[in-house]
Amino acid sequence: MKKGIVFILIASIFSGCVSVVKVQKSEDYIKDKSSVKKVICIAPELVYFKGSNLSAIDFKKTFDYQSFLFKRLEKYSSKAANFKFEIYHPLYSDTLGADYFNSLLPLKSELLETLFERDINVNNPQYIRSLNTVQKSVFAEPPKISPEYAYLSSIYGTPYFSWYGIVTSNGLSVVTFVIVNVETTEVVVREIIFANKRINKRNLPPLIYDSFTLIK
Amino acid sequence: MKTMYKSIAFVFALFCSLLLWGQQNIYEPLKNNTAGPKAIYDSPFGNIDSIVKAEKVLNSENAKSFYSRSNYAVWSILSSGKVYFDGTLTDYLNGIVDKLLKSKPDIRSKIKVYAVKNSSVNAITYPNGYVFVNVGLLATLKNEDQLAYILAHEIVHFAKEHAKQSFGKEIFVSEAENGFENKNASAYRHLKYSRENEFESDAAGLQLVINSPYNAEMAKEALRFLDNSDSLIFTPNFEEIFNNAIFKVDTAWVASAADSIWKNKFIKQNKNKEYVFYDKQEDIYSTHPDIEKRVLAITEILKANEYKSPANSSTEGYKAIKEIAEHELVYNLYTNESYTISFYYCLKYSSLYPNDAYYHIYLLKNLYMLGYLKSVDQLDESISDYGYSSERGINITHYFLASTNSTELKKMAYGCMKQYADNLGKNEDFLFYQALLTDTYLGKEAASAYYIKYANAFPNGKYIAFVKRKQTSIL
Repeated sequence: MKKGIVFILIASIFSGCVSVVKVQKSEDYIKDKSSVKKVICIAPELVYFKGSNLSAIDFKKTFDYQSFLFKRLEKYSSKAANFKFEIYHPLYSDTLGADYFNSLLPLKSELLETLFERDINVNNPQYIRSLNTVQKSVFAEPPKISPEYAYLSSIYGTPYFSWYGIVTSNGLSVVTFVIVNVETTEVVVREIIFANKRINKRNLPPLIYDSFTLIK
Repeated sequence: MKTMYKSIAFVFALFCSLLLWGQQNIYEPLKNNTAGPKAIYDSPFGNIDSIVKAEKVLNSENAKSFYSRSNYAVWSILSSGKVYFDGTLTDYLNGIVDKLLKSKPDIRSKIKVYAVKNSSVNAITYPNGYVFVNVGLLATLKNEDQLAYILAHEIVHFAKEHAKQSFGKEIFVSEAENGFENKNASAYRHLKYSRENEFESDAAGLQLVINSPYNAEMAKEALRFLDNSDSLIFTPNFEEIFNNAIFKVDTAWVASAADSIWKNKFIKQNKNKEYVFYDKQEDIYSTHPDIEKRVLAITEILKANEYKSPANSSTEGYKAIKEIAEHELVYNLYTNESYTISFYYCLKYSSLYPNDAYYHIYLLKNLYMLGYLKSVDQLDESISDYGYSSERGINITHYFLASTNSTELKKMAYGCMKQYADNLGKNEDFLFYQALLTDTYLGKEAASAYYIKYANAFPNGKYIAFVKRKQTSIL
């Protein structure tokens, strides 16, 4: 009896420390995963907020974590799914040209739109998008972008373009990942993960690894 | 004989102009030729320690916080892809600043001016000397004198270190009244300092313009544009643009919808505006003083200076820049996924420049995306508060699109495309959208001949990868 009470007490103490990771969306629309050999990642971001609200950015940590993120993204792309993840970011790439600003960044803006919007949700048009509602949808077809970026596949040697972004504070972190095929204008992979804990250098690598296994 | 030669020459000129009309040059959106200033490629905090060391007003902790924030903000804008690093607009702006600061080379050397891909009618200055001028402002103003005044005003914000002064004052006062703080006190103080700074920038900016070749009288109009630009009030004529053999607009419906939105919205708003002098809302909640006060202040200063306007007007020279900015506005809104607003400006500029095929092409591009968003239930149906002055036209456009179903929108795009086919038949974008809009409305089989036409005409075209995929799926 005593042992049982002690166990319950210990369990209740530790239950408060359990972190919750909620996968809001984790979708892949790709038929032939082996065709993904190279993915261009446009300006991935990690924004590190001070404390538990999303108002004051910790600039030093943001830039420190960003370089950590870039390295891990490159490492785990080959390890988890055997594709090349080419990062284009002013603080990381030496070869950025004017095209990065003329074409890639406008494409990034479209990628962000497809993360939360553009769902063909045929079973529940009134669904609620919130942290506590896991979306249960039936998709008629993948979300789309405009066809204006089809020409980029011949310039960069791949039709796959992506964005990886993290926002983290003490109480809430959001990880978002999207890949589109600019030739078909369709989203290939889309993932949104919420967590009630801060992303740090220990728990970031497994999150990246899991995201990349979507294309394995 | 002479008359005959003249007639032949006239017919030949007419033939050439018709030939050129068939292959008209369509505006190409501006592109950066360079990869931007060095500041983008360095950490925005790399030089913070040396800046903090040289700081004389703020203590080191506050200085670090202040400069970190402003450096990060500028770095974010520069690396956002929304800045014209070089080219016509940015060069033009720098030319005006050169004239304004001809006698102040020390300030000129610290100012870096860029045009930015932002549609709002505004400009902004940062403490490290970066001035960003929105393309929406360039598309709205009427002449170079007005723009010169806005730039002069922004330069004064930098030269007088307004952001830093406000930050310092705010910290000083909030520390002094520690313990008695109202939770909104900081915000109200900030707004008050900001309004004081605006008056100072208005006056000192005016002085810069008075000492330059520009017409300082134009400052008043420039300010009014920032508040309520009458050039933006435009009610789209959907009937004129869309009525054709394939698509008909219900004229009576649009007219009644337009009136009901406008009246309901503004009657409701005006109910809250019953003041003694029928003035606008109190400006204590604003970062800027009321425009009428600012205009009156400028009038007083010009009168006290016995100012006489220079004879030259700069309206003609500005026309070309304004036209570039108008084209860029439509393109930027489209690439920024603001399809409804981009669609609205296409309608507006199509009516102002009926022969400019660029707006017809972007009308089709926007309609394709609007039709798609409608089909995925993602078209913003809310009545927007996008800008005080342009609300009416934009709200009507929103309402029009919200009341049109997905199939109707696709039909509208298809009908619109058919209308432009005679004039734009050889244009690459048009040929592609001819196929795509037919595909969207009537299916890929009906569009197949158009896809083939595009592939034959542009085997290395910018949409060829998409077209090839489509052709494979059709076969």
